[in-house]
Amino acid sequence: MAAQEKKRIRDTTSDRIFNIVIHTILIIFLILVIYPVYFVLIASVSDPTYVNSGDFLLYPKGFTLLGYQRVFQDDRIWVGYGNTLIYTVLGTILGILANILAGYALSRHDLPGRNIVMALFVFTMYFGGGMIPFYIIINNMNMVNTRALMVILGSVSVYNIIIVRSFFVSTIPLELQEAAFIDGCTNQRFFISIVLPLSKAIVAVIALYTAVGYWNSYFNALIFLTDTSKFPLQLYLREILLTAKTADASNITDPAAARKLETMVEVVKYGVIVVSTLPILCVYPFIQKYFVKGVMIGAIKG
Amino acid sequence: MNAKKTGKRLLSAALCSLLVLSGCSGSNEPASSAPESAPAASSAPASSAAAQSAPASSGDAREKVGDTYVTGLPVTDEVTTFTVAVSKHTFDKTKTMNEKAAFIQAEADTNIHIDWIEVLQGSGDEKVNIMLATDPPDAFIGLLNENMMAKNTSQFVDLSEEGLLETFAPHIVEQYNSELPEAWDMLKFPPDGKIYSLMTGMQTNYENDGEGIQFINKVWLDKLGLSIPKTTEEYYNVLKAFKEKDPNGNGAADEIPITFCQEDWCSHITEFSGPWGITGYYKIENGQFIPTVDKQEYRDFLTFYHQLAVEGLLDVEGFSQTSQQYFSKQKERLVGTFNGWVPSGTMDDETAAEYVVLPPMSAPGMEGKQVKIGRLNKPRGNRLGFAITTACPNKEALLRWWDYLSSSTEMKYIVRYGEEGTLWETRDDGKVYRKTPQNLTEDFTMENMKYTYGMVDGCPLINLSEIEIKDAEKDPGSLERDRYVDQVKDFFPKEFLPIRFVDSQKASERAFIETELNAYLEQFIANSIVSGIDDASWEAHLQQLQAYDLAGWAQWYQDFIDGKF
Amino acid sequence: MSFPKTAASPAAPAQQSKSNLQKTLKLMKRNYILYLFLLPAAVYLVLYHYAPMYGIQLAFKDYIPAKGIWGSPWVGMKWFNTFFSSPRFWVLLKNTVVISLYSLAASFPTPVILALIINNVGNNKLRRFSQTVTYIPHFISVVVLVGMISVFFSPRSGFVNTIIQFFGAEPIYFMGEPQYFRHMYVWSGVWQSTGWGSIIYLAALAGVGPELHEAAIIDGASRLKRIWHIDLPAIMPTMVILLIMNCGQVMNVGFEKIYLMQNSLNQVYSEVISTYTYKIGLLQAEYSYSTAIGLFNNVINFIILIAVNKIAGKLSGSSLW
Repeated sequence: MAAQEKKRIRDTTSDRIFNIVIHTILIIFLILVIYPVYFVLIASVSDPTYVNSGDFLLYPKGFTLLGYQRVFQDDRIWVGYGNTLIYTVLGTILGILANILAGYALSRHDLPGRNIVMALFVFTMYFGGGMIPFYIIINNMNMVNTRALMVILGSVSVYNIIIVRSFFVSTIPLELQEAAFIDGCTNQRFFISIVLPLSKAIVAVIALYTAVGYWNSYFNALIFLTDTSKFPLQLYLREILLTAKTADASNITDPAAARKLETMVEVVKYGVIVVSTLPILCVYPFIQKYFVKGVMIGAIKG
Repeated sequence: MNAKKTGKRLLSAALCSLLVLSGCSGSNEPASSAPESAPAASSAPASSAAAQSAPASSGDAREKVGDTYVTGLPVTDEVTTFTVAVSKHTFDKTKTMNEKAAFIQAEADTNIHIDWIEVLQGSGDEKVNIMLATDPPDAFIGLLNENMMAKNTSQFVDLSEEGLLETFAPHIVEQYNSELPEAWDMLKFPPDGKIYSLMTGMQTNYENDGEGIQFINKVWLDKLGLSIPKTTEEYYNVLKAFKEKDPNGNGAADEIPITFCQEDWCSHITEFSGPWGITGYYKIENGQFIPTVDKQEYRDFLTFYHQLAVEGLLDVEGFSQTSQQYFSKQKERLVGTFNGWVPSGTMDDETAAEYVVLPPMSAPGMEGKQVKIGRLNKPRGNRLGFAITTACPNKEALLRWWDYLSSSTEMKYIVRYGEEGTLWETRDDGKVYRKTPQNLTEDFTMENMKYTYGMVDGCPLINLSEIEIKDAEKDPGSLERDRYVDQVKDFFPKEFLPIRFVDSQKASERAFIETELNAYLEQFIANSIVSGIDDASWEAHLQQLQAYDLAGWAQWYQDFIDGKF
Repeated sequence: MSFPKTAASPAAPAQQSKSNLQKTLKLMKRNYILYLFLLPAAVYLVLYHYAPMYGIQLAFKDYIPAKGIWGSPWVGMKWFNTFFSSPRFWVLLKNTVVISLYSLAASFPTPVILALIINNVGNNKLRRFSQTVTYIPHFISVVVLVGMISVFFSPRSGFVNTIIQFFGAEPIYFMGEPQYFRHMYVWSGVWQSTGWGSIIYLAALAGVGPELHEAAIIDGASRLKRIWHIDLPAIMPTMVILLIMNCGQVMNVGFEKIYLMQNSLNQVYSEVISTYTYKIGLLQAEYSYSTAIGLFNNVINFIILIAVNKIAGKLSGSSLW
């Protein structure tokens, strides 16, 4: 009894040290992360001259909202927001469905041929035909310059499928499945009424990964869209940010314009980050609640 | 055809399966959204006096080739539509090119309507390469480069075909013949010397002749009782005084005597090499192509700047700083001397006024041989500006449309800057003068205006004799840059590489050598300035140059100069 | 069953394979719905990945757009030979491999550690706050990130050097001295990706039942021990799978960031295969050449992937197939 008591006390001491250590590490890391993020925020409302001369540390200098004004004065930004929202929401739905279904099927040991399928899937992560044949194929499907293409491209990700698969492999016990089948449960029913409720966390992760992927993507739009009314947000923002970089000695035709452009870019550079990131950041809290411990256990009991 | 069908079928199968599985059929966004915006029919009344032609009746007696009238307007009886890919500038605020005055007028007069494929700046090459590989538009304006053309000549209409230009682009032929006869040679594409493109832009632009120009803070000089340095020794002393004697008078030794920026196109470290007679990695003398990077002068230049770096006079951060950091230093009044376009481009007017041009100085042993990077009357016309592809169903009509845009100085300026009166005007002497509009705002700047009303360098070639005149009295600001160029133009080299297209194999040869050589040289120059050069490292450098095939590189250009390909 | 073994031996393999086949068929029939589950992803991959794959042949051809992919002339191994004989080939290869192995070594464990720490923080608010905050850097575009690095680490005015000088040391030119390049590249990457990378582990940790921990507490296990014996095994399969996949990316160093961080001083270490390909492309858009280099990279990646997968399968039981 006494020994037990002693042990517990010793443990709590070590736990206390452990606690201090992890909190210290976490707080140091948080500071390292937060400061640059905070810097982006104050830089977005500061005079770019001071931003680039390293003249301020903790609060904005040469306060200005010009950056935000510039970003928002262009009505294309709202069109872009709208398009991005459509592509993200629909694409994420498609992505969740396709990736979770495929990942689950591939996690089943009793599925003949799953290793071959897996290898064929993984193969596509490494070998591709390149831009031109890709464009030709899309063109042949008559999908160039369509919103449907923007929704479909990027939905299936082999990387996500693999993550889903490994999640199911490690969380759905084989016994559970066998017990269910003995009870005469079909695959569909097992998946819908037992597996899915157990996998809120992974669905949340895949939703987040896919949504952020759509939110940040611009390349497909750049290549396949010609109609500006279908452009996603990131394409505009990229246009704003990168045009100044394209100016080099060989193709400058109007140096005065190039200078002007660089200044303009600098004013909006940090604001653009804030504008494009805030909405997607709001998604996280909704996702986060599925990461709370015990969600799965509750589901099993329920 | 078959692949197309299968593709479609597969696709619909895929879509169906996805939709069925997701149980959300019909929630998908319809593939094609809003109806095509109405074309420029609504804007027809804006047509100018040039619309002299009577409404075309079917009894028009003019000579025709196919549907296309050989002379007179309109070019076709029915509205003919072409697809043209064009580079769209970031400053362009129009929704479509068809809002621009030039194209409204052209459509009304010629009956030719253009469906534009507007390619955003920065994504140009990728898109153009894909277009060329899949379905090319009828023509390109301002998007092609030499590589693209070299690899795709078979996809472009041969304009040197007997009588084609003479018949359907008489204005252009007339213009080239009388003003720029060498144009025909410049446009010939090897190996068979056919012509696939016509020129756009301004033939030359004095502003651009000088490239980056070195400026020095005159107020600091005056304060310290120093004059503008004429030799590199004086230069060294001035920089030292800048560093040590607190010319900005804030009590802190925060002055940066000399800075540069590798990220900014006209502020590279190599822009300082003029005193040693160097304008780049090579020079041309009497038709001989001579590399400079293996010469003693180059070593002297690097050694001098290494010394500045060691003593803290040269801001070595220039190798890594972003152009914005560079500009910030200028704005904060910290910089003694730098290379740039115009000081007012990066600083407020008051600070900018402190700077004057520092003409090339002389270095020991190189007296009288100092040079300045630049070229008088530097050719700036884009030789690949306008090109018609073989996909075009009626090249004659499209050529006539382009010829219409090239038909007069005024028309060309309308394409360049929009309608007369805003950014330009013709005065009594018949010449075009630049105008600076009064109603400029931060949100709609001069540059916005230029690119919104016109398409600047996408315009048909403007000759030397047609170049806009800047009025020193009415619009002195427009001459700022010209005045700087005036002060250095005598130092420009006199010999240059010929202007001629190169076939894709030769271009590829050069590209493989230059990619390696340039990378090595950049690294060598930077290291030499930061760490210095001794005899051993110079010797090693000469050997490296051999490994990177300096000789082959020089030979390539010598052959090019000699017209061997 | 009752046949003597010796007598059965000629027939047994056939019989066995027959019964195996039957078993497989039975499984396939029972689980046919799972094949339907695979269908959307499979259709997608066939349409958008396998269908364009015929473009790989361009690595062995001289691509001429007018002749199309099928019609362009074969050049055999020309592009590969060009690449291998480039004077800087070995330098490029070395830089690429070193930087990506260093990245892997630094950025693979950090998300795991962060996830374990966050998971062990008792305070609910702090836990949520840290999760949300640490993943924000993922959204900062590379252009802005590199711009910030340049400002923060400026030898003249950057606050990092102000701190260094405060402690009496000489300012360091982080972006200019080549020996710092890899550290700058890798650790800015860690900064940007740690929080984002920890999400998957947090999700996996959510699956650990509290009663496991409760039982361990009763047994008197310390927190460190519980992490070691309960939490770590829970995320182990995910870790192994991610490690396998990351190992299969050794030859791919993302182009944009390294290109933006590159300057003439740090080129010795910062020139990698992707930046080289880009520079060649700028001067001469050689589509076939870049296809060939890409193919070379990915063949190596794929071989590494297969090898690592095999090893991981043997050692930990988790593998891709």
